[in-house]
Amino acid sequence: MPDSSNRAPTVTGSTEMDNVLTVRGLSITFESAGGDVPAVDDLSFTVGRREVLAVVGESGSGKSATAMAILGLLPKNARVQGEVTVAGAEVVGASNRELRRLRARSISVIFQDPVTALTPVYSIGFQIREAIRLHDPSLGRVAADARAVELLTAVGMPDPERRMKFYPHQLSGGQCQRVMIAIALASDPELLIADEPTTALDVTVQAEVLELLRALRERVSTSIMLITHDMGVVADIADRVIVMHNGRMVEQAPTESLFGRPTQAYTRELLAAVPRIAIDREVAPPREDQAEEVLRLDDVSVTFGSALGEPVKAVRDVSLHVQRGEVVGLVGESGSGKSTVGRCAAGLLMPTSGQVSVLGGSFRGRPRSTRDLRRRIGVVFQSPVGSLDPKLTVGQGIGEPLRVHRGMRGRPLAERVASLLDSVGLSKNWADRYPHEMSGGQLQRVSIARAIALDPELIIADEPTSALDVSVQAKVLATFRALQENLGFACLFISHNLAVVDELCNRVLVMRLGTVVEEGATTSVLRAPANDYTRALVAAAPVPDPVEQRRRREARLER
Amino acid sequence: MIRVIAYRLLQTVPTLFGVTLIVFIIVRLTGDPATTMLPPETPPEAVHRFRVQYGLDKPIVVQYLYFLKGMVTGDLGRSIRYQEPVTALIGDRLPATLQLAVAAMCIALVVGMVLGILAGIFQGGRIDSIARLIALGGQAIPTFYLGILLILVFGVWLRVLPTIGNVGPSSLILPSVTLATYLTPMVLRVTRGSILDQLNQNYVRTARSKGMSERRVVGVHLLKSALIPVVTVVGLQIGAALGGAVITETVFAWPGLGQLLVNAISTRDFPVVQGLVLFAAAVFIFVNLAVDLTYRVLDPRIRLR
Amino acid sequence: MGRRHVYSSRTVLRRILHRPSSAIGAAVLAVLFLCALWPVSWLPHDPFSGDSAKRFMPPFFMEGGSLSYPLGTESLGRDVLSMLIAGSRYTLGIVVTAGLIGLIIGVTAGLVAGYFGGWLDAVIMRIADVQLAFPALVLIIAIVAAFGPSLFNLVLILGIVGWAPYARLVRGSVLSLKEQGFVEAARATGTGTSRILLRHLLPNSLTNILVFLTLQLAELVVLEASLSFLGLGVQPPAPSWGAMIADARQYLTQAWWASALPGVVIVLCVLSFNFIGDELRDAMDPTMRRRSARGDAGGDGVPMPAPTRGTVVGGAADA
Repeated sequence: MPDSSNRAPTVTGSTEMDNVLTVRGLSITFESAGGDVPAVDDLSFTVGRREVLAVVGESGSGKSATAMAILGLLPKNARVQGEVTVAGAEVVGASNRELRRLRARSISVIFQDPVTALTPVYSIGFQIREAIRLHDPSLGRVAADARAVELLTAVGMPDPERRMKFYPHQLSGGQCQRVMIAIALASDPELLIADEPTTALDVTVQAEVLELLRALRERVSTSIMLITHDMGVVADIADRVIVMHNGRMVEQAPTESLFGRPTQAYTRELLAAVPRIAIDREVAPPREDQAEEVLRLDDVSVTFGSALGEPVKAVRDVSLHVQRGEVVGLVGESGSGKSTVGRCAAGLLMPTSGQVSVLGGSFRGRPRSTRDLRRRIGVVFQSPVGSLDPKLTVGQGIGEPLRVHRGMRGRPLAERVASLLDSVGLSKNWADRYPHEMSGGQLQRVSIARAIALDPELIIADEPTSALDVSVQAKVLATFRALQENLGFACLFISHNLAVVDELCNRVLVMRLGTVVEEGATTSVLRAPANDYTRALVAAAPVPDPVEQRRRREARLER
Repeated sequence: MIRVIAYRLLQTVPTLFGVTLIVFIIVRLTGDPATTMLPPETPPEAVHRFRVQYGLDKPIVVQYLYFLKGMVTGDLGRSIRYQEPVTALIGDRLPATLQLAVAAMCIALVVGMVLGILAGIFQGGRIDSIARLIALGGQAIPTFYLGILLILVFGVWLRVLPTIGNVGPSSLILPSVTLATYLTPMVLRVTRGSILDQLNQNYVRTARSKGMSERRVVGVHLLKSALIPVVTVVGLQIGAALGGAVITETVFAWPGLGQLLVNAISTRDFPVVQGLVLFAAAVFIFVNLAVDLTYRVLDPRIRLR
Repeated sequence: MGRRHVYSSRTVLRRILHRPSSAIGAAVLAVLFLCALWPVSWLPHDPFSGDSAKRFMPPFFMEGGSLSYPLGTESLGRDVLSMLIAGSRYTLGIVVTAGLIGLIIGVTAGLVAGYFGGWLDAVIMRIADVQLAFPALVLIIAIVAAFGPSLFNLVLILGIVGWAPYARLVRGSVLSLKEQGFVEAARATGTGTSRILLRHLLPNSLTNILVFLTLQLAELVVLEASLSFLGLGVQPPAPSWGAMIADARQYLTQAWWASALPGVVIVLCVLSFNFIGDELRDAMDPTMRRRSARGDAGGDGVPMPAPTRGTVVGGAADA
């Protein structure tokens, strides 16, 4: 093992002893059947004591690979070069034994999806105790239990003694993440790596977990390396930020300077792409006139029965309407029922009670009339890959509605497909390609092209950009907005992202646990919410502005 | 949880009912048992007596009800050939088949699971290749052929093991190895697949990140989750063992239920055939019920809401 | 510029011939199919009746054997080689026909069950589950015993009994495809049910079905041989491989080759189907071609196969 006391000072002038983590010249390449894939290229940075460093990047930037390299958890086909020093010990090239010691004593990690990150067949008490014992094998069962309860209390888990016996699937996502944090803290680490810790969680839960991480930072002397793509989260808790792109570090700066005065073009682009609820934006107010309604839901309820358990009421007595040419947003967290409402509106699901009327007609009519109805609506889903039949070319996928409803073939069909591709910003050459050859953003554009193929009067869009990177999302949304302005279709836009809804919609409805809690013009609902839940939602959504985040935090503390 | 057990138990009733119906229909469909079973030159009064004796003169629905009544009271009729109650015949031969099945299952489970676990952990390695070869071989070589080859090698050429009937404990070796070879591939494949599935899961990564030895990661965390699907396979394999036993017993003249079945078929002893099929169905349904319940108890995700 | 289909039958064929295991398998099967089509009159000897003076002649590579009966003769003096060749017609004929019957019934049932769901799904799957878990051999024996072992019955029963795994398979495939959204998308735009079934669901399940067919054929060969061995399959004097083994069993000490050799052919046949099936499965596995579904914005940029989150952390297991 290298002797850390003989090390020369780093470039920044401080010795390794000041830094919990030092990364120098790190390069990671993955060997695969299709050739070598470079993931990280010559990366160097440090993390100091009690510091929160955020590593920001989109997918493919190499940030996760970096985290795994620090832990020594890269897969076998990874080639690593460079130096990674944690708490004085070198990770690259270390033996398995040394790595395990580091993981049990000095480095901890929490991952993105907390529920699946815990072993499903053991209680959480077992798993926490295990971490405690790995750190300090001399502790007996009783002592380990006590410490586990202590940790659970520290992470804010209600009723900790009872929960010790619970299994991961009995806890919510947020609670599981707390357990993960407890496990991470059990080893008293000097460095805690948090890999997208809140991405899989609802916004309100995310706020709580971030709050927890902040509080811990004050109380415990752990440094945190936070990996995320969410600039709002960065603004909330990071001290310093590193921006990565295609495996390289693009910029490094303290949080406030990065947000306030970004020096690199990519950083600027990234920041600009983040949607935010803006006070000064011009969004068309909802139409005052009694324009024709293209979609109307009256007291719609949807109940899902289950074979043995109690039926689940996903949607209760929801009423909404969308007028011609309007863009109406439907927001809510997971379990709010918004997707179910969307499927009812698209005629993919029949409500248990209540009425859905689209363009004056209903889906319960005769097949012929229902088909005509469907011809006039378009649907865009969240998962870009899944919307298209992988066996058909893009052109065939887009052309299908045209083929089915208008009987178009041959030359006219090809021309229409080409013009559709063009209108979503894709070259017509893509018509011959297959979905698996395209990236997420391109696929989503194709989905949009397919949705507008028949000049629909109404489009139902369910989280169309949630699976995309921030910059891609911005571009796709811009395309969508342009199309809406040009073609004038009405739209029911479903999302959990308030900022996106704010950018696009005239009116918005907020859903919670199956009901609508608030509705109205976007400007009033999102910027001056009346309902408590909406207020909490707006407050919890992290804003990519550190100054604003700090202000909100202080306001919360005062309350 | 109790609700689930009760629900499951209730579900077996219609299944059993359906099975009895199907068996009854099929057997009756093959033609009038009287004419098929008695020699052609039997005088009509003898045929008629036969009919009355077996209740074949009553309307078909009544016959079925008698049949059902017999099911419930444990009376499966009398064997035409042996003139004994079918239940007695089954009772006589059951132990032999049980011995064979249990021995073969044990071998199959031990070999299949151990090899499957090792093959999964060391995927792509030598053990993996060996395991896959065994799985392939076990599937490709028909049971009866393997039995005959074993008889040839160990009985005829080397003369070290008995090959016919049940003359002593060493008689069990060849038949159980033969049957085990039939059962092992599935166990091996499912175990290996299950291990590979679990290796991909997120919690394995978490376990490693805690700093525990790989042995603990696999032995404590992964194994428990991986073995749960294997339990379901055990149920399936017991069913397969029933079928395989028929062949194995025929090859080795092992005095069990399988041999009884084959003999009964060739002598057209329909009460015996009927009784055996029903017995097999009942055994199989209850074994699967047991496996299903065990699975539910083992997996905490199902046990607790 | 534009690549055609993801995999064409030509590339798949090439892959099969490339791997030694599947290449040999293909060769063996080709030979066997040739045998099946070989007219009886062209055989060196009559496979149905033999010269009892010539019984128990050993194969040519043993003492006392001759090239005129290259694989020896069995208890009735019939030439083993001729019987093997003739037997292939029965075995392959039965197996392929039964396999196709099972496939057609099962795939239809699976498509219907998976797509329509509800009680139809529940009923079909219940029947399939019960049948699948019941030991196939016992079931088939019982039915064949009941209806009599004619060739027609045999094929029919083997076929009908074989539908359940296809139904399960296809239904599973349909369910996962349904979840993927493009089925919903098609439905939302008003595409008709039959079109969805035939143009979307079936082609996407086809690869799985084909792979399963080859493996199912392997199993059927063993089943047919077992049934013939028990006397419930192809009836004498027709020369089925399984029946040959059964016949020769009692003469194991005198003429072991009459039992051993048919078995070798059975094993080769089964292995061949297995190897081809394995190779088909690997060839058609879309995960070999998985690309990153994120990262690139619009435009013509060809996406770099950037490692997705899965590859980064669990890469080794992708192999």
